[in-house]
Amino acid sequence: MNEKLSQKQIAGNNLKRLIREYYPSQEEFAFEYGCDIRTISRYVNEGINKVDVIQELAEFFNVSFAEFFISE
Amino acid sequence: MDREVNIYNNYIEKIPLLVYNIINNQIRNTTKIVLHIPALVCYTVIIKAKEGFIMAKPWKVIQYIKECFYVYNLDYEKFFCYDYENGDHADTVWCDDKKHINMNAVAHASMVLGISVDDILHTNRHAQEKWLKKYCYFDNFKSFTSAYDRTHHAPEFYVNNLTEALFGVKQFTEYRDRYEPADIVNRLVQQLKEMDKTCPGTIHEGAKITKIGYHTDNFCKFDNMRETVISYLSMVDRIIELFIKTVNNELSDNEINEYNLLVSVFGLRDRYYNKSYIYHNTLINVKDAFAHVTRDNFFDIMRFVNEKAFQPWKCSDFINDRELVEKYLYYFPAVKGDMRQHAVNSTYIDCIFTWSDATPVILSPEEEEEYQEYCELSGEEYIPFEEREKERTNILIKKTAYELQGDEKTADRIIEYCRPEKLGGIRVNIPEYFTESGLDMTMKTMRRFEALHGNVPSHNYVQRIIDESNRSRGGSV
Repeated sequence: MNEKLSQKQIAGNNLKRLIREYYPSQEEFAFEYGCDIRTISRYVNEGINKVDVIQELAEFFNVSFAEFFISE
Repeated sequence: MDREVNIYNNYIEKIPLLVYNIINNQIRNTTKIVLHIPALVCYTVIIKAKEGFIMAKPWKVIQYIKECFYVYNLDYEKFFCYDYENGDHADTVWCDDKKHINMNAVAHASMVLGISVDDILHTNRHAQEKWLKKYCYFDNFKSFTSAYDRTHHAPEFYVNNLTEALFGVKQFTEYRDRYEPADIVNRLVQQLKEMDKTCPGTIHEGAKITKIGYHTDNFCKFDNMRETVISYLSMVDRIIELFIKTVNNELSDNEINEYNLLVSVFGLRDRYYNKSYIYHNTLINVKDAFAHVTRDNFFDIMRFVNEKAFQPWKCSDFINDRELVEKYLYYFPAVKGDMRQHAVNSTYIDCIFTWSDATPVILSPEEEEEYQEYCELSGEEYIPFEEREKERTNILIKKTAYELQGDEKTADRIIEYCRPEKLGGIRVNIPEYFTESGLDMTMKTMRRFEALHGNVPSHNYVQRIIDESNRSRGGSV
């Protein structure tokens, strides 16, 4: 269970890093991505536990699925 | 293959959408139609009118009005069914007991359709065709939609539908369909194994995959997409021009009709006081409230609620023209997210299933609270956690070249356009309203209300308007 939580959190942290790299704010990313800002905040703060969400984000940022699970 | 076929009204449901669309407006005349099915076959069909198909005049008028809704791609029910937004679809009463037509309804149709009352009562075809000739978008939209509707199976599937309906035989007895469920399931299992290496726990050891389904989308081909998009954007320019002209000058009758039709097509509303469409008769009464509107700030004040009714990104001819996509996103930046979603939906197959050992759906604390509130208000039974439906899993499977049916480059392009600018994506301007604070939004809504009604509304009323607006929030430039 702990391991799963940490995977979820690592994915959230990687999303946060990628947003910072490409966008001035989470709001601007949310607008371009077509997602509610509250959903993005939840992913960043609480992590991402849905595999398909990570697949979509990986495609968007042109990184591999595996990269979302690499801890900094 | 040339065959003469008689198609009567009672047969319409049995024939494919393609034919239905062609004959829908022409059933009263005997018509020879050549049907081209992409690259496969060509049929000539003679559609004969049913004898005695002559309507009484009021019915002719009503039929004419309904045809106008069809030719302008407008939803008749939205404008003429009582309480449409709450799901009631009771039609307007068009005639009284003495078969006199309801003139209030005709006047409303005249405003919505941009056709004068006289032209409607005389069922004037030229008046109906005037806007079709000016804007090829109207006709092309149907062809585009029809092309898109025929993408979900292999072309042979649609030919079989047609030949079976017309001649009672299937042209192709064996063919490979676009998506094969067994193949998709095999690829899903392979992909789960791969993902489990990176993300342990993706596969539920000892559990079975149950209730499996899949969903995907496609691109269509439509040669006239460029001129359709250009026509559509010219309509956007025109409505802005006529809006500003109304505020500052007078419009001619012809311009009023054009403006009103465009309001119906785009669903023009005030961005902050989002209560109803701003037709000419409304605008002229409150024009001082819009005196500051210019071409540059138009979309900060106004919005198109139907901006996603036309989705050119579903067409490969649009996607393969980057300049056109950039132009479209300049006008409609908020659709970049929809385009991205379509990029995913059409380049992947979304497999949805339930692991046999899955736990019930876990709601976030906010969702749980909303669910409880909903049950209290609606009277629906509250389902405790243990009894709720099990969590479903979604996995995206990349489409094969066969499943993409020649759209591999289109798929690569749309994915690139939707990425961040530094990764080759198309930059869009973030509208001011998207990042404004709740306080700013409240203040603007109050100012809009005051300008329109001359008094300041209560805080609760403003909040209700903002909530309604947020529920349907979208945005153009």
